[in-house]
This record gives sequence, structure tokens and C-alpha cells, in this order.
Amino acid sequence: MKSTPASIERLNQKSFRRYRYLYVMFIPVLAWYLIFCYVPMYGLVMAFQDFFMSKGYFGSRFVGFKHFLELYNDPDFVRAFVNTAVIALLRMVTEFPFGIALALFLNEIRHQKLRKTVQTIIYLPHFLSWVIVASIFFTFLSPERGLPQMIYASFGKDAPNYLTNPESFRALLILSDIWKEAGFSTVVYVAAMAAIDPQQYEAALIDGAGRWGQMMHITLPGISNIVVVMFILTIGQILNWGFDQVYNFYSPMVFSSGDIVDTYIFRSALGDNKFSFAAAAGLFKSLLCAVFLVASNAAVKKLGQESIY
Amino acid sequence: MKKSWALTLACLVLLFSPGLVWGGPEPTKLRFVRAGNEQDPEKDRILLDLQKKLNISLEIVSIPWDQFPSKLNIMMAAGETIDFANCDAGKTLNEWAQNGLLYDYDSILKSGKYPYVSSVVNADLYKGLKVGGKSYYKPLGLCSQQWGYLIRKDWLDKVGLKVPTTVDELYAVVKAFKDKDPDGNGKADTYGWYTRLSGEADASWNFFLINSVYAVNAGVKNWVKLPDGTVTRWEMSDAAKSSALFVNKLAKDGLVNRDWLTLKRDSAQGPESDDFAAGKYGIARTSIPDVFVSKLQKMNPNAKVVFLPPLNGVNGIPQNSGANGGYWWGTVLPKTGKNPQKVVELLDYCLTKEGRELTEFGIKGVHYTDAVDSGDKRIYTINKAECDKDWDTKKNGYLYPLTWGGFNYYEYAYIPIKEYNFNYDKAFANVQSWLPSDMAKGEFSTWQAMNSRYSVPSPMMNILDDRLLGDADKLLSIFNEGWLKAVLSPDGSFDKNWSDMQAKWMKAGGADILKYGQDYYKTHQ
Amino acid sequence: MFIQKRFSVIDFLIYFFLILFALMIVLPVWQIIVISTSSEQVYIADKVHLVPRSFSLNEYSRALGSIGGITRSLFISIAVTVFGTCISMMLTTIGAFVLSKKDLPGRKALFGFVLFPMFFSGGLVPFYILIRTLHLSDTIFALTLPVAISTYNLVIMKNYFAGQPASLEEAARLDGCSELQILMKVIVPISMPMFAAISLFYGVAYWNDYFLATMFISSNKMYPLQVVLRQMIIQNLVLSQVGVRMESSNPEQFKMACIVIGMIPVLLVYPFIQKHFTKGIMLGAVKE
Repeated sequence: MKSTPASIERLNQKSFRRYRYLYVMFIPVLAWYLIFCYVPMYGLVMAFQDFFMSKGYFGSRFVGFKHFLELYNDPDFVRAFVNTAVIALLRMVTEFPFGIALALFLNEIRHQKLRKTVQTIIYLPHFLSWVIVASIFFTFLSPERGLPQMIYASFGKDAPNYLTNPESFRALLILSDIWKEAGFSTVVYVAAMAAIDPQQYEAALIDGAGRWGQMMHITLPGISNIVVVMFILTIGQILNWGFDQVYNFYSPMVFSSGDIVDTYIFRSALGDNKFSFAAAAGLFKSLLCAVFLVASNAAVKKLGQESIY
Repeated sequence: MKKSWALTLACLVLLFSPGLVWGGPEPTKLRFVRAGNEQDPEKDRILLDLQKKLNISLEIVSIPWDQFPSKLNIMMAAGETIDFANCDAGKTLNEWAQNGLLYDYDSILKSGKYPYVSSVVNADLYKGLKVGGKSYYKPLGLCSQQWGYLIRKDWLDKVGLKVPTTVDELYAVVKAFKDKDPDGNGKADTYGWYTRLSGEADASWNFFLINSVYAVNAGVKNWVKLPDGTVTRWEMSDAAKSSALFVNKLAKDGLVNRDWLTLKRDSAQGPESDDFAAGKYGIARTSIPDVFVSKLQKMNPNAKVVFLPPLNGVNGIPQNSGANGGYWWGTVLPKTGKNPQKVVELLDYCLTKEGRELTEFGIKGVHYTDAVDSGDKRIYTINKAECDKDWDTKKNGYLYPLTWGGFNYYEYAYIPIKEYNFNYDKAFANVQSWLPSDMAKGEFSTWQAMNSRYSVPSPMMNILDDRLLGDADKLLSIFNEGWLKAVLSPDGSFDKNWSDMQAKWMKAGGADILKYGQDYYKTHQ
Repeated sequence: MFIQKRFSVIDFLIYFFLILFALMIVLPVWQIIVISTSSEQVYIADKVHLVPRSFSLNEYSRALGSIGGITRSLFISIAVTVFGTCISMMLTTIGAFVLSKKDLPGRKALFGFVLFPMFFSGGLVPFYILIRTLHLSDTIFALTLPVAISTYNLVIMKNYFAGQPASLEEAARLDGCSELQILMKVIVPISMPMFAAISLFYGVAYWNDYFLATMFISSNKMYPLQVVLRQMIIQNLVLSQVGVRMESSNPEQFKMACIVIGMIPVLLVYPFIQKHFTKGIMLGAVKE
């Protein structure tokens, strides 16, 4: 179409009307964020106060960065922070790809009934609370009655205690999280795969692509958009993972490798009403998460992928 | 026919109209916040009775146990209307009291109309709970020691040992229970010492039988008297070290169940009693011996269980165990409520003999048919079918759930405040057992009395000064981690682990507490 | 659908892996079911709980008939889940649709506005005060409105929309459709699988919520299922050190029965969502 000044004018007018329409549509969303997220945000000042519940935000004294300094000088917090970061990284390189692989594999089951059954089963543990999941793992790996002990006992030995060993504890966290959440994490990928045009597979088949080739060259690129989003979002919440899980799994014997920021704060600050201290730890984590999100988004952009903003 | 109906109706109207017109003032609305409530004030017959008697209308805000402290704190911060609430004593309470969020009891009690409540809040036992010289907290009484140990007598007979009285004898018994096949099934499937402590804030507490050999009321957060007349915290005492060393020996010799760190306990002691009944172990720590024994006898009718008294101490005091301070939780009156007077009236009524009976066993002729005094006990014949209608008896037993941390105090007991002339301390030492007939038959019906006989309070118990408490949870976490590391140390590293823990504890604020506490003890002794 | 008959090594490995993974999940769940139907004596004596040696539904009937009111709480949970998911899907779809317009002036600012609260929030106390000021406490609105939008889900949906072929929209626009019509007639139909996934996320979050209910509900009559179940399952754990007398309390069998009761509704509803995950939804869509 040849564009004349007049038609550009018309287009601008049209798109302005269109934009106005979109802005109006957005009002309820904007209102929701304002009311439920931004109005209560004044609570952030707590991290810079010596906050007392009975004095409130306006009655409590401001102390600047006192609590951040206290965090910095607390060896147990530093240990917990390092653990949080290391565990998060380990999860990122194991659980994240595992979910994608699981979704790809599910997609390859041709037998519809079997596929649906497997899908339903692997979603189930998502609905079990961590208390229950922990007790399932504890029973299975128990140094008294668990499976490894039965095997070792038949050789007349005692099995190592995987549950209270700082060296195996992180692996335990990752395995149990995979057991519980991997199935559910496939939902979004399975949904994305459902949108891939079947004709692409037919075309590939004609080109002589095998199962593996189809998986790598059609399915995976077909969901890459969602994989990238999930990657960035996961990184953006990476430090907030796992309170419930760790809380139910850990014991003082594994604090050295498994105590994370959230469990440390819960155990040692909230009971003593150190709310400001807890808020400072939370704010510190949030800041880092925000930085991670921005950074990973930029990295993804650089790689030429569709980023989240 | 019609006429007679009309007549009856007219009579009825006449009869009841004074009631309708001059039925007294509207019932006072009271909002009560407590944890884990299941009773409905509109349906529960006991609550209906109580509300009618006192002309009140109760609303019970119920919060699940695990969220309770934080939600109550937030409700207080948000200024929500609360007439009375149950809560823990400690820093939060001190903060509320100091910032004027609570009514004090003293000004309400001045009128002299509520002698029961007055005797409780002014008892010697609880005087450390006052804040700035005033009472803001009415503790819910709890016998001074509800925990104790049971031991399998048939196992002792089988391995040819007596009930242990010293730590050395205890070691011998534990070893024999593990190695000598006490259940005689030909398999090495019994534990010597059995405990569960997954998720416990204080692991050492599970060994209080051993701890209390080395010090009076040994345990985290408690103070221990030293020979030179000063005090120190249990965590820093040599007694704690000796005790940990003994546990270390048990663990090294493989006498403790290896899965202890990942087994969860629960307050109902269900899993513990299940394993006890399955014959996995022979020395049990419990607060509900009858449940343990009855479960065991269902599985093994020949099993025999006896009470294991505290062992002889090395400190010169034979057989001591700890005290819990004589209360657990208490009632506060937030200033957002408008009727503190009425609340105190309710609490006062519940402490009377009549009120206690109503809130422990229900309505006479409905929930129980008869109550007889027999010796130092009072035994109730329960009407189980009626109890089932008002509460979940499978879970709560035949003790009315609201007695349990609701209005007055815990346990199957009556504190004879009036009988002892409103001297609470005396009354508390002479608690009468009030039991359902089923429990009265059991061998351990006087369990609490048995335990309380051995219970000795530690210095500065029940004093909840902020500076004495310090960053209690942080210190506890440090001690707990260090204690476990020490008792699970292999040969030769116990001493180092122990001193590492102590150094860390002192540095994290323990040193200040120690100094403050020692001075406090000197001046307040 | 795929025209390939050979059952290759890759197929074998994939089937083996998936079935193994499913078995690892089924066995413990099976144990839960076995325990929930065991009698007390069998439960204590049995160590493995793989073969049911006794069968009773006593604990189930006790749980369902309990004073805590599982049945009533079930209806509240359903109401919260249905209402919540509807309102969440509406707001999220609109938000995602608007933000997916790459040429919208001020889009970046709007997106930042949406993203910021994902990291920073004022904490519980201001939130509690807000809910009380809005008079939402003790209503199902308190369990739905405050969490109606999950930025996480909104971003996923936004990117999914952005990945759809623009030609479809253009065509509709040329036909004179308004933006709302485009959303309803073009975007929604081709996004059904993602819609199913996101509503599943929302639905599950509402269904599983426990925290909001304990914070903003104070009447037993309004508690949703998860609160009631959780109280039955973990209540005992919390009080463990006090040792205040609690008779026999809830045995293990009862707790397991509660867990099963909590999972049944999920199993019943799931197939209806699952059917949207099948391939070929796009068949009718216009190709570029």
C-alpha cells in the first residue's frame, strides 16, 4: 500500500483511539495494583526502623541501616545467605532443565491414555504439603528402616545417614523438589506445545527427521518463547525458594549447608519480635532478585531471544 | 377446643411477658481470641449455659495454632477489638503492657469482687510475670511437672536389671535393652534410648532425665546455681557439658535410635506411643502415660510398665526434675475491649468449683451423670454419647476442649482456691485430681502428683525481664546446633565442638545476659 | 497423530523413564491410602504399609462428620476457587493483552509498574490493615481479591500473546473489530491451552491457600478446606514441647484420610482441564 500523508493522518487518529481504548481497558488492572500492592508499600520503612508492633510505623524510631549492618555482621546470616545462593543455583541448573525435559518426554508418548495417566500422576505430589513429603522421604531414606539401610544391612553394615549429612543435604532438597514439583512445572510447557502447528511435524517427517530431530528442531523451538519467560521469572524469584521445604527437611546437623535466609530469620528473629531485622533481610533479598531479573532479561535480549520486557 | 388453646396461650403470654419486657439488660458481647478453637458459642451447650449464667454473648476468634502468635500480634497492632485473648508471656507481652495496649488487672480487682482471679494474679508463684509492678497477665495454671518417664518392667526382668537410679545404672539398662533382645523375638530390633526431635527448637530437652542428674531444673533458658552461691545459664554450665558428654557416649555406642533427628514428635505423642506399643523401645518420656500403657497392652497383653523416677543427682539433691513455672499461657485484656470488668467476672466464675466443673466436664445430668469424691480424687461418670454431640471426643478425650487453655487451667484437676482461703500458692500445692472414671482405673492416675513431687524450680524462674531474655531464639538456635554437633561428635572432638558453641553463644549476646542475670540474682536474691 | 510406527530406542528410554518416575510417585501415595484404611492394631504392627491388611473407612467417616466441618469448608473452598479463578483470569487476560502491545506508548512504564511489586511489598501489617479498612475480613473476597493478579502468571500470558502471529489481529482489525472483540474472538480462542494452564495455576493457588485464610478469616464457619485439613494434620506438631495433656488426639490413619480427602476434588476436576492440553487446537487458525 502506498502511504500518503492523509492516510498516515488517518492511521494516527485510529491508533490513538485504539490506544485510548487499551488504556481504559487497563484501568481495573492498574487499580488493583495500586490498591493491593502500592498502598501497603509504606510498610517498607520498617526495615529502617526499630519497629514495634504496638508503636506502629509512625511511632517507631528510625535507625537507618542499623539492621543491614547487623545482618552483615551476623555470621549465621552470612552462612544462610551463601547457602541460599548456592542452593538456588543448583536448583536452577538441575530442576529447571528437568521440567522441560519431562515435558518434552511427555509429548513423545503416543499412547493417549498412558500419557494422560502419567500426567495426572506426576501432578499429584504438588497437592501434598511439605510436611507430608518430608515424612515420605524420611521414611524411605531412614537410617533405621529405610531402603538403603536394608541393602547395607544385608552386607552387615550401617548405611550412611543421608538425611542429616551436610554433604548430601542439598541433593536431598533438589531430589525431593523434583519429586514434588517437576510434574506440575510441565503444565506451562505442555500448554505451549499444544499450540505448535501439527503440520510442522508432518513437514519434518517428510524431510526424514526422527523422533529426536522433531523434539530438538520443532518442539523445543516451538516452546522457546515460554522457556525464556520461565527462565527469567524463575531467576527473579530464585532467592525466595523453599522455606516450607527446608523447614520441614532440615535439622541442626545440616545448618552448615542447608540453613537458608528464610528459615534462619524464622527461627531466630520472629520469636523475639525482631521484625525490622527480618524486614531488612527480606528487602536485601528482594533487591538482589530484582537485579537478577533485570540482568537475565538483558542477557536474554542480547542472545536475540524474546525477553519479558 | 379452640377456646382452651387460646386460654393456654394467654396464660403462657402472661407467664413469660415479664421475662420478655423486663428480661434484664442485653447480654454483654465479649470477643475472645484463642488458638485452635472448635467450639461454637451458638450451639455448644456448655458455652450456652455459661453465657446464660453470666449474661454474656461470646464470639470466639479461632486461629490455627501455628499462626497464632503472629496473627494475635498483628491484630493488636491493627487495633482490632478484642475483649480477652490467650497468649504467651515474654517480650511481646512486655511490649504491649509498656505501650499501654492492655488493661491491668489491679484496678479492676480493687473492688474486691473477684477474689479468685485476684488470688491467681497476685500469687507468689507468678510474681515475676508482673510488668512495672502491675499485673497484665492471668496465667493458666499447669501442674509444675507434667512430663515423666516410663520403663518396661518385663524387659528389665528379662535382662535381669533393676529400675535404674543412677546414670551408670541407666547406661547399663539402655545397653541391655539394645543388645540383649529384651523382647525375646530373636532379632536385634529394639532401641536402647529412643527419641524423636525433628523440628524441635531444643534438642537437649529430650534428655531431661539425664540433664537433671547434673543440675536442678536443667534446661535451656534456665539458670543454674553454682557451689559458690552465684548463678549461670545452663548453656554455660559444666553440668550441661557433663550431661552432653553422657549423651555423646550413648550416641557413639549406637544406643540412640539413628533416625532421631528426622522423626517428628507431636503433642498427642501419637507416633511415640505407637512405637512404644510396637515394642521398639523400653524407656518412654511422656505426659500421657495412660495412652502409652493402654496402646501397649492392646498389642501385647503381657507387657508391664512402671514409673521411672528421676535419677539420683550428682549435685547432692537426690532425684530432682524440672519445673515448668506452674503455668502455660495466660489471659490478657486488650484496651480495645470495652468490658474488662465482665471478662474478669467470667474468669472468676470459671475458677470457682462450680465453674471449673462446668468447663471441665460439662453439664451435670447431660455430659456426666455422677461425680464422687474418693480419697484425694473426684471421679466423674461420663455420658459419652452426650459428650460426642458437643465436641470431638476422639481427639480431645472426655475433657471439655475449652478447659484446655480456655478460661481457667489445664489438666484433669481442680485447684481448691476457696478451700485454701484464696491463698493460691497453697491451693496450687494441693491440687485435687478430677478424673473421668475410665482414667481413674489406670495405674498412672496420679501421674502429675507423682512428677510434681520431684519437681524443683530453678533460680529466677518466671522472671520475664527483656534483658534477661535477650535474643532468646537466636541463642537457642546457636546452642541447639552446637549441642547436637557435640553429642554427635566422634572421639576426641567433643571438647572442641562444645567450646566452639560456648564461644559463639557468648558472642551473640549471651555474655550480656549472663552479666545482667548474675547481677540481678545478687540484688534480688 | 505422528505417522511413525517404529518403536525406537529413544521411545523405549522415554517410556521407561516416565513410568519409573510415575511409579516413584504412586508408591508413597498408595502407602498413604493403605494407612488411611488401616485399623489401629494393623497400623502399629505393619512396617511397610504396601499391602492392605485391614480395611475400614472409619477415619474417613470421622473426618467428614467432624465438628470442624469438612463438608462446609469444602463448599467455601469451591466458592473461593471458582470466583477467584474467574476474576483472576479476567484481570490477567486484560492486563496481559494490553501489555503485549509492543507499540503502545508508555508500555515500559506500565510494565515496570506491574513488575515492581513482584519484588517489593510492605509486609503483612499494612496489608492486614488494608483488608480491614476495606471491610473484606471474614468474606470470600478477602481470600480472592488481594491475590487476584499474580504478576508471574501475567508475564507468562503477556509473552504468550506477544508470540502469537500478528496477522490474525490485523485481519480482525481490518474487519472493524474493537480491541475487546479482538481479545475475545481472536486471542482467547487460539490461546486455550495457555488459558487452561494459567487458570490451573490460579485455581490451584486458591485451592491450596492456607495463609490468607488464617490471616483474614476469624470465624470457624468461614474457614476453607485447607485450613481445616491442616489443623487436623499438623496441629499436634505445633504444641509438642508443652506436653499439655491431649488425650489420644488424631492417629496417623486419620491424618492420612484427611490428605486423601484433600486430593480427591483435585483428581475429579483435573481431566476437564487436561483435555485442553491436547494438540491441534490451532488447526483452524490462519497461517502466515
